[in-house]
Amino acid sequence: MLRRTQPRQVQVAKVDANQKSALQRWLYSRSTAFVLLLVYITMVAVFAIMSPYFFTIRNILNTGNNVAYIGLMAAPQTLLIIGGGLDLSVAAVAGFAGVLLSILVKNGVDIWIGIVVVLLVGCLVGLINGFIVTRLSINPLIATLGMLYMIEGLALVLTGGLSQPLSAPGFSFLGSGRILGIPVPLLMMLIVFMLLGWILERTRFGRFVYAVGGNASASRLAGIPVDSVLIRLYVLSGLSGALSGVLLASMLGASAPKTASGALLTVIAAVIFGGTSLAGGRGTVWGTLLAVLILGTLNNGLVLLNVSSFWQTFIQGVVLLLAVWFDQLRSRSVGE
Amino acid sequence: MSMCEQRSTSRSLLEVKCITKSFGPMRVLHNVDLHVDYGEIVALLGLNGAGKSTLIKIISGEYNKDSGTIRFDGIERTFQSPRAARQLGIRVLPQEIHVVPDLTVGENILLSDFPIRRVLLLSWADRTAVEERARAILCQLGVSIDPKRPVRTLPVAQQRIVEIASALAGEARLLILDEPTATLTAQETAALFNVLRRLRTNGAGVIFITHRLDEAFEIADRIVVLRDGTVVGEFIPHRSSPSDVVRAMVGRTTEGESQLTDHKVVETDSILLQVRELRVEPELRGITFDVRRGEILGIFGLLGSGVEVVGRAIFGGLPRSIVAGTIKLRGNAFASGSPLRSVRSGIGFVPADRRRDGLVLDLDVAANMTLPIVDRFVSRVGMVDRRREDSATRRWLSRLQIRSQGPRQRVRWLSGGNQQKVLLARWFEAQAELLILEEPTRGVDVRAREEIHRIITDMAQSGTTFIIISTDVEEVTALCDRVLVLARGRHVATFARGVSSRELMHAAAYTAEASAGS
Repeated sequence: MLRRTQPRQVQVAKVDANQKSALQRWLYSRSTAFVLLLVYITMVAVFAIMSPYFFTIRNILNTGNNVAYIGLMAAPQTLLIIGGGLDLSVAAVAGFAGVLLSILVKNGVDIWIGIVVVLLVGCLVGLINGFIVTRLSINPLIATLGMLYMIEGLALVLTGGLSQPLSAPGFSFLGSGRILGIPVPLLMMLIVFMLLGWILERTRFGRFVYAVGGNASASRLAGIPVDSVLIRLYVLSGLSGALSGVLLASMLGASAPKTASGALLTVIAAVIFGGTSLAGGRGTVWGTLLAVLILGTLNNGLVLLNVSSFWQTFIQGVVLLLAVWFDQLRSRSVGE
Repeated sequence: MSMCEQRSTSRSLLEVKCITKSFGPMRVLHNVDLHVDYGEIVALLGLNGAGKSTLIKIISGEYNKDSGTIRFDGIERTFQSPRAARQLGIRVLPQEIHVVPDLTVGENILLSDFPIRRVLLLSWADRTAVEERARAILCQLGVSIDPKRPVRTLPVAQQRIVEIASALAGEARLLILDEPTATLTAQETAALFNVLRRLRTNGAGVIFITHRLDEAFEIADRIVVLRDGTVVGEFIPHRSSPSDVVRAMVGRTTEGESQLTDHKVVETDSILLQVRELRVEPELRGITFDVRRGEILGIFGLLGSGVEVVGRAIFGGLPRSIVAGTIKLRGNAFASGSPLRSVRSGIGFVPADRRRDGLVLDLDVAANMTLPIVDRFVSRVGMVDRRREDSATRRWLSRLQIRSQGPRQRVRWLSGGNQQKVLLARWFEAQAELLILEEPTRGVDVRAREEIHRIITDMAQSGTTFIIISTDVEEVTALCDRVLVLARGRHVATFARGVSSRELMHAAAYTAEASAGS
């Protein structure tokens, strides 16, 4: 791990010794991921007490499975935001990928070849995003927002706005199969998180991601290929969008241009909720993973408690704001 | 000068007497007297740290004085805030230009007192009044700039004039300009001086802070020199010589002499780096020099002389389109422009602003130290071997006496001097053959400064070649085997070790006139 709690603790002791209670000080000195873990456990405990259907293995796995496609997009997005980028087109890519796959299959392309093609298209979109941001120096927010509309527009053109059925032998395994009792989407999400976590914390590339997001100018002067690091992150994000779209199409047995559009803000929210700084340079994938699980669990729990879905949305907003506010307090208290 | 004699206050716009100011145990100003008459331009000169900016901040109400008096317009004043000083007509124009680029010239000039029309509860900007009043003020300054033009489209010098006009619109009576010409060309400077002369005839007072002797001699009615917090000399330009002024600025000539003279250049004639006609638009106008293996080469110049860009012009990091010239490294052509290529060729670079361009503050000490060469710590499975990284880092922590909690402390929490040492260690660990250091001791304390100088000398002894780019005259005299002096983008002089601070300052500040005139 690149950041340790040691210096933080020292700082906390210096700044807040007189004003904060012992509990506050202890909480403030933990990492964001740790605090989120506490929130998650508390939430599970509360729901388990309030609803007899909640704390079953089946339900817990289901909860994870429902957010898998969001997690798949949020994990690379975390790396991208740490590196100082942002990809708003990722959910549109997911929708487009599903639609494209349907069309390929309808025209007689083998489903597995189709999947490979779709994943490559996702990479291509990421590559274009990366080039626009680095070579043309266009703000990532604007560049990828433009890409969002272009991709969504293409998907609408290809389908005439209609949803496409998609079924092929063996394909449904991706979305609803199980390995050792664990749903495949959930498994895939966990594997992606572990892989990216390892890359971010252990490899040279991960080191570069933190450096580029933390200080691009200094990184460039230290001889780091800043543009190439960013482009690779955008490609990764595009790939994750396509993968997520394939998964979603398999889960639903159909695809539509805007299937995943609603997930975009959830993806970004999860990354921020997970403690990643929008300014770049700071964050972990573990925070994002917990944030995704918390948001999923919140929805699931509220459904089981018969709360209307409209209120669920409201409550999500409240939780998000509270979490980010707390994180601000925490990071201010350690003088960041 | 510091006897604080009583003098008549009737003629002076500003009269500062016996001002003393300390920050903690450090006395920054000691019994300083300064007066500015109506319609007078006073040039204030002094080396870095002489106390110029502190004095200005006291006059403009930003700092409180410890003792002494300030009379403005014959009345004794104690300014509680910059606002209070401003209301009386004291305006400071800092080095960087502060205008609102997207507003027009007229709107910028009248920003503080915008003409407004009102009808009932509605109010809107009165454009014709803006134009008329702005035009009148510009006319008063003897310049013709269209008040309707957006300031963004003006060249820097005219933006500066807009700033002055804006101060006048706010009824400024004492203008304090902090190195206003650092980024201007000779013609632009001349235009600015015309404006200042106009101000003088209108009876305003001007304090003009500069490093350039030629400018002080050209524009000022009187030159006041500060050194170590006291006024050490006053000169009337046509009755004194530039070398008198330089002597006053620098003080005893022995001062700059080095305690580090034991460094001997490894006696080889082999040239490591050849630089020919290196140009950067518009700051650097063709400089040529060689760097020998194992030497410490200083490049010295005042702000705006081109020293700010030499380092990046060689190492890379500037847009390729503005850099020209040829560079040879170890006898082979070397295309500068890409930091990555420079690093691979064994060149390291420590920029002047270490927090902005040098360090990744949220990464730990070890990661910052190994940033360019993290490859060397990667194991076969692609992981960074943190244990090996730690031990390499620890080696430098102890060798350079970097005070930290260890390799995994975030570099943000280190002091300036220790941060600088981390950056040096980075390139030592990378075994860079040539190290380009910009302002290596800017903003570090005296002790760290000595340590850093010692480190540089030691590393040069063991074969590393250094280019030290600095605006700090004492630093280059203490450290360098050879010093090139830049002025207005040109190489104007070369000195060997043993040169005095006075000679250097003289070359940098005065030869400028000759080259500007040509």
